[in-house]
Amino acid sequence: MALEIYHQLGHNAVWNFDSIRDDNTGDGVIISPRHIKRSKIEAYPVNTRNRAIFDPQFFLPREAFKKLTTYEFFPANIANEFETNGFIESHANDCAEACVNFQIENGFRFITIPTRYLPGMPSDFSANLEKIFIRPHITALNSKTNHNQVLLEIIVNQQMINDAEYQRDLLNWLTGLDGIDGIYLILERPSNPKQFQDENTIYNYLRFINAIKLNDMFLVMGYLGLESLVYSIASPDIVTIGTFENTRVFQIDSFAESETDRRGPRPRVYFSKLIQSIDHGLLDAFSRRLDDYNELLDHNGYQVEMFQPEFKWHFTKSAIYKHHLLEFSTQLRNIAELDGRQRFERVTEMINIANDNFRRISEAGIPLDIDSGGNHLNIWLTAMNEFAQDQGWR
Amino acid sequence: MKDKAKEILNYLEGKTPIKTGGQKRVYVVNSKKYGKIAVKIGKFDSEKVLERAKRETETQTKIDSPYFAKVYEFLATDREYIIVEEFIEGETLTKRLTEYSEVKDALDLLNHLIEGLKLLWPRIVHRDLKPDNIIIKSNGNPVIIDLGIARLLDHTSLTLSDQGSGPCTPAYAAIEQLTNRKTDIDWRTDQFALGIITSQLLMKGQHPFDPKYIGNRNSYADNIMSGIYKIEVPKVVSELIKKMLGKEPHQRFRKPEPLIEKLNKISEVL
Ligand SMILES: Nc1ncnc2c1ncn2[C@@H]1O[C@H](COP(=O)(O)OP(=O)(O)O)[C@@H](O)[C@H]1O
Ligand SMILES: [Mg+2]
Repeated sequence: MALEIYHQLGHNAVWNFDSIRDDNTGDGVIISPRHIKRSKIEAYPVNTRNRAIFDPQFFLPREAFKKLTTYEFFPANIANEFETNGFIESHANDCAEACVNFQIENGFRFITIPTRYLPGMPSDFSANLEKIFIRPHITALNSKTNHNQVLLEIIVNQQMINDAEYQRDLLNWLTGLDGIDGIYLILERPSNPKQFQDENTIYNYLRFINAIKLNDMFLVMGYLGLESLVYSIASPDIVTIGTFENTRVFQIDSFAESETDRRGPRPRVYFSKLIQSIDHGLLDAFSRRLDDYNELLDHNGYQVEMFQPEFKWHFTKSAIYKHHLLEFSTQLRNIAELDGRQRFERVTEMINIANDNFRRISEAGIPLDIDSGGNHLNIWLTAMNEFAQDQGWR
Repeated sequence: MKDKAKEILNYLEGKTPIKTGGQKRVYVVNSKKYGKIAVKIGKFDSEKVLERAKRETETQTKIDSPYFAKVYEFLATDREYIIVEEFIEGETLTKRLTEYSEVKDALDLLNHLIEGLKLLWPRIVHRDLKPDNIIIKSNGNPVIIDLGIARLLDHTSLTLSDQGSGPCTPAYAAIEQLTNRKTDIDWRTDQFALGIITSQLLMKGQHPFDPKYIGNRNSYADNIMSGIYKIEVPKVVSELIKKMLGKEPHQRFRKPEPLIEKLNKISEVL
């Protein structure tokens, strides 16, 4: 099956919709109720909703921040207690019923069973989620005559993935659950450095993804950045792309109230031939010192707009994001029809080319910091190679 | 209930059981009410365990299928329980293990066993599938006995530490049973045992985890826990069995349907 690209919506979802419509950068969206009011979602065109996945975002169920207050089934809107026997006995089922009804009424492509955020390696991870969300949702679903396929949302972290026993237990549990057709999987990882640079986690995560796919479960991977190229070799069904960083890296902080007054990031320009986003402040040096700068650039209307002398670099300029969405989705589209092994080969080539380009930048006397440089590339390659070895691809 | 139980025990006193030595004594009796019956008597060690067993028996009573012996009664004294069930004419699969080395015969039997077990799965897990617990009737159809009840009553009997349970049971136990990971036990645990049984059928009784056959000094259980086994079966079925013998539950078939589908596909090309 071809790899599908979904937009992980956040602030300014209108850019995502523009980009999907104008540039064919996505096959659907994952809806973020934290950023989008209920009434707005209900007004989306039917075919948008039919291809959408709703992420209930029950990550921090005790408090309904911002637009989450418009969803009456969000746990904090139902009761001011949570996880007590009281909640479980009298509210968990109502909450699940309303959450399921909302998703069915809107005709979303899947029904998503929500998850909460649990740090560390809790020994009652599965039992807790089953009790408060999974069983109540399955019960609600069982009472419906028919409904779309069901995804179970879960958030894992690096510790969970890198601990062999914990990962094994997670897999045995996830694959043994009755009543679900797939997983909506989220990995919590640091946002600093911007590209994920932990080869062990990437390798172990590839194995985790692969094990889920060997069980013929549908796999949606949420909150992904450029590393989705790497994960693609383990054949997930849907990978996500996004505009702002908080849609490309899952961090629980961005779901706590405090996030509102963060400063906007410095604008960066995506270079597909570097598989990296470069701080815009470096572009003048690039153009002065790189002989083949023009070849390194991705040429499209947004690039033309950004490179006008009067362009004011600011993180609120849509061209920056639309450029990223266009160029990166094209890279994903180019490997979408390939099988895992072919993707491995193609992504390896892409990385080799990017490494060459970084070498030339370095030779031109432009040292790059960890967020603009190519350090991530060989880390990715190491993880990919190890996975490929396991698969007998090399 | 206790009076009736005592009455039965008195009646059986001095009679010779057809089988002793396992967990229970099994008697064959001709009853006016039920005809030929098997009466199974075993010890239990706590009320709680007995309660669970009773509930489990009730479930089994509801299953009306030729793949299972009908349970007529469940009784108990202070120390012993009694299961009264339909007597199945035939022989255990243990005695006929070498008669299925034709791929078609082995897969037919596997298919039948799955058809029966599907009535239990996923809610109920047999947990003790092995040739001793499968009776082959004269028409060739299998009947699955010793269902869950024994497992629940003699709740220590399937743990590895209990050497008293006999050498055979650990030989059919999956890693999640051997390491006592209770929450990991589900229908896939039965699938693993079926994988071993099917290999044995195809290899004239040879156990794929048998240390002698593999040529190492481990125990059966050690080999199961390290995923070391040897199967010499026709290529069309080896992939299927490899998946059934996945070391971890997540490496086996997730649902019975794809397993059955795969089986049917193989049968088509035979
Ligand atoms: N319903 C039955 N019909 C015929 N034989 C039976 C029946 N139940 C048990 N047996 C015989 O008795 C043996 C032991 O019974 P089982 O219920 O498996 O007890 P155990 O827990 O000791 O294995 C079986 O292997 C089989 O030979
Ligand atoms: Mg038995």
